[in-house]
Amino acid sequence: MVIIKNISFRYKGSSGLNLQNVNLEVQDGECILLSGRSGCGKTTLLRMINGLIPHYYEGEIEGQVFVNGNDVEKMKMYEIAEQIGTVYQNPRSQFFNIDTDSEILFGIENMAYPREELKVRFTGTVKETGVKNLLGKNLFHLSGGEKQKIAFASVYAMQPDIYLLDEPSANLDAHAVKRLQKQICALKRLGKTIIITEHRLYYLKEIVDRVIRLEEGRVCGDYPASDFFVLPDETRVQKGLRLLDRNAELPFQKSSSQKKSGHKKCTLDVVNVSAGYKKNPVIRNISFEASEGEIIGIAGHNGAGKSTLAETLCGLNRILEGHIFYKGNELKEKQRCALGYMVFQDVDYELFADSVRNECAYGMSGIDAGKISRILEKLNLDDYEECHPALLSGGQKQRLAVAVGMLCNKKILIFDEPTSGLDYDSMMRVCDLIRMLAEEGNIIFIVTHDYEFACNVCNRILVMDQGQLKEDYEITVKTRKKMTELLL
Amino acid sequence: MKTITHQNKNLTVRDLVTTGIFCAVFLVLMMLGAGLLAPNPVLTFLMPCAVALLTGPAYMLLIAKVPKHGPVIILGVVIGLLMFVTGMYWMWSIALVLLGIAADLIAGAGRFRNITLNIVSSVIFSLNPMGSYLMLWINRDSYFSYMVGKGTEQSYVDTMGATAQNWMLPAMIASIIVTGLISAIAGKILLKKQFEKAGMTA
Amino acid sequence: MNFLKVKVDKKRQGFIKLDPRTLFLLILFSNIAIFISSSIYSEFILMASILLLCACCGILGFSLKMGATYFIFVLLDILISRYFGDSWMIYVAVGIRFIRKVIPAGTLGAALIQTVRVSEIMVSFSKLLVPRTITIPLTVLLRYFPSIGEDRRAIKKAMAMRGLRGGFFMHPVRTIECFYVPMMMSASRRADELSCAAITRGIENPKKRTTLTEVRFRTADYTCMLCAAAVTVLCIRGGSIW
Repeated sequence: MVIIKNISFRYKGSSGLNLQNVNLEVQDGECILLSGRSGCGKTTLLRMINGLIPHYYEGEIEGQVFVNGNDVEKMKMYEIAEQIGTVYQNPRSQFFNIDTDSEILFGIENMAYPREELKVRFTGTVKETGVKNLLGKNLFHLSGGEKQKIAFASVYAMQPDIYLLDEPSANLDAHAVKRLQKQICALKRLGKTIIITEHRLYYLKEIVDRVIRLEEGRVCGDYPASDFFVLPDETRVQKGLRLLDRNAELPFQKSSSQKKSGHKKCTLDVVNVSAGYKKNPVIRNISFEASEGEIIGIAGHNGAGKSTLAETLCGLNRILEGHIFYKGNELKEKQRCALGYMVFQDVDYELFADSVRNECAYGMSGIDAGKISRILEKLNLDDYEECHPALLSGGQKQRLAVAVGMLCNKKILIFDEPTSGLDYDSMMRVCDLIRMLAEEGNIIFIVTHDYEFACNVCNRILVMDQGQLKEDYEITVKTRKKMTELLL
Repeated sequence: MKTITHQNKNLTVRDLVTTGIFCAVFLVLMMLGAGLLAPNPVLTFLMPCAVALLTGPAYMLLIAKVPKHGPVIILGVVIGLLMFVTGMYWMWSIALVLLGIAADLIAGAGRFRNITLNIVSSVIFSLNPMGSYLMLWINRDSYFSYMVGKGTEQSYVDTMGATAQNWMLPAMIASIIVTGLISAIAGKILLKKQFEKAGMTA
Repeated sequence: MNFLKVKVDKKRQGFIKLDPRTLFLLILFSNIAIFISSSIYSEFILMASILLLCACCGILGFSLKMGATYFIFVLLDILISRYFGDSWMIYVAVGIRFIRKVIPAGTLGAALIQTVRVSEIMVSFSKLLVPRTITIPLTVLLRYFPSIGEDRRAIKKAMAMRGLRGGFFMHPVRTIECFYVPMMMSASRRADELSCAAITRGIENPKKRTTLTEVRFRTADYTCMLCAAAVTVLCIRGGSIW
């Protein structure tokens, strides 16, 4: 049982309170969802429960948290670890070892169980979490979903009573989300207490018992699941929540061809392109056309060749066969590089300079200062000109990367998972940004798993499967069902 | 409200993990420098300079992130262990450990906040590859004298041994100090310009 | 120098399997032997026995490759010092000899990496009473190593898209900034996330860590140690025998 009593907290260096007077009781075996906008204090609350606050993070604190009757503040971190297991959002940065076996054993070896017990727990965990096929592998060779499976198994081996899951689906595709769903169900059947923070909500519909909604560090709603998942669409949008029900009807974008009454000029022409490794092309025989102002989603499972396609479009891969034409001229690798620009999921790699303004001028000689100011203003970054890029929020970093792309006069913009882990409001802001870019005559590609986002912004979907373009359709009433199956 | 601060003089898990990560960065930069030059018979003597030139910023940031006694020693020991296990000259490992301790003490004299002392400590530590080249001098006999059978030409040994002793050792040390200094100062500039501004230092 | 590409997937299996601690000892012995040895014949014997051991551990191909490399270096050394002994080529010869002398121990080191799992190496360290202040950073180092490769690839792509090509020699300062800044920023952030993930899985437990992986000395280990001692003695006394 978890009891949170009058908790308030402020991180060191933060201006306002991050949690205000939070009270919460979680019964044994209950499954709770913490929802709310980004920065509402969900993650902070999880850290209060697993002891990272006050044992790791610094700040000011008031109130108490009890886990199974013990005061978290008075326990040692390794004692808490025996009762509470936490699975984090980013599967890439939560493993401590390089091979899967050691990672699964990591927690129980820390607890210093005798070897026989380790053996029993290890075999049990492998069997019950279904990771047998991943044993003895290098963690760096696994997909995001598989890494998460291992992270889960590592915590599972410690047999905690309480599981905390911090946005577990943020980096997963539809397939992996379904698997995650099953995994949570299995935990629930074992009678474990589960607390989940999440933006992607629909997959939890049949799982959670209760939903707590946080806003600006306060609890401002405590719903039984049966009430929460039937909230009318306007209410959930107003509260900044993502899609609740996979069967809900979403409005979608009119495709460009419908808008311009069938008049469509092909600007980008991709003919029979293969790319990847010489002996073993990752994508084969890709052909499609795209026109200015189109917003095209690229979907498909992990390893289907989405990112290779995206990278090829902006000149980061050599073309093995085939051609790419832009306005009738064939593009060589360097020209593709000059025309295409990709906004990474991890935007940090694209930012080099020591201030927002310098970032915009970085590596470009003779760029007009007025142009920089105009673009920064357009992207709402003008207040941060002197700020260091690393101090910006995720959304701001993304916009800064876009600003750089606009300044380089790029015509083909590619976004890689721009909405992973975003709440409704932030997602809509990304949609606005992308629509604005499309209206300026750019061709936009979006690699995404996000159904709601795709419905909101894309006109067209390219479906990749095993390195080939399986389908290419505009989003209409007819094709919706196909899309739902693909992304949900 | 109660204020929580973790002012811990001992190394915490966070410090150890940070140190480990920066050891990795340091090692990659080291291998970049060494991998380029070490297997090349003509350039092998320039290897310490290349290493010194690349590693300064990583060293400076490590001290800035964990301003305590320990991380630099750990850096020396961990890299020394890896060098040993992968069969590099064992004197290199010993040099890494000893210079790690020396560098730790130097930077510690300024409580790890004195930039000048930190730069000096970085330069001292970057002398570590000399450990393996010292073989050439300490172990001169075995190094220069044995050839196939007894057909060693005494003149060869004499010229080589003498010249090498006369100018190569000081030349190598001097060049490492110069490149190490450049690198550490570059590290300091990066630290000021980027990492402190981004709030990445402790 | 890709010696840290530790493999975890499939380890080569030969007909002997050594305890990592034995291999540590062998590396130590071969280092001492090389250091002291004053006869090239004893060095040959040392190298030959190392190659034989590698072959027994199941990496025959690797062993042949290293043998060939060693042979080439010895040959070059002899040729240069015989025929160009009194010109500037001496320095090349010393350089070659210098590298040649790393090869025996380096071969053993590479054999260790190729035949022993990471977890076994870590267990041996803790059995050798290496304290946690060393084993934790070491584990993190091995785990973070491939991440730096991923970082590097991503940064390279980002630079290409912004037209920041031109390579190291054209723009050294810019290239350094472009690589160092994102790489170290990401290092700082990962350090935080990784610490959290480790702490919430009980890494701070003061009790001595147990391990599922077992390492222990077997007959093969004792045999190898005896042989190594013999070869070392041979190297030390090498001069007087021949």
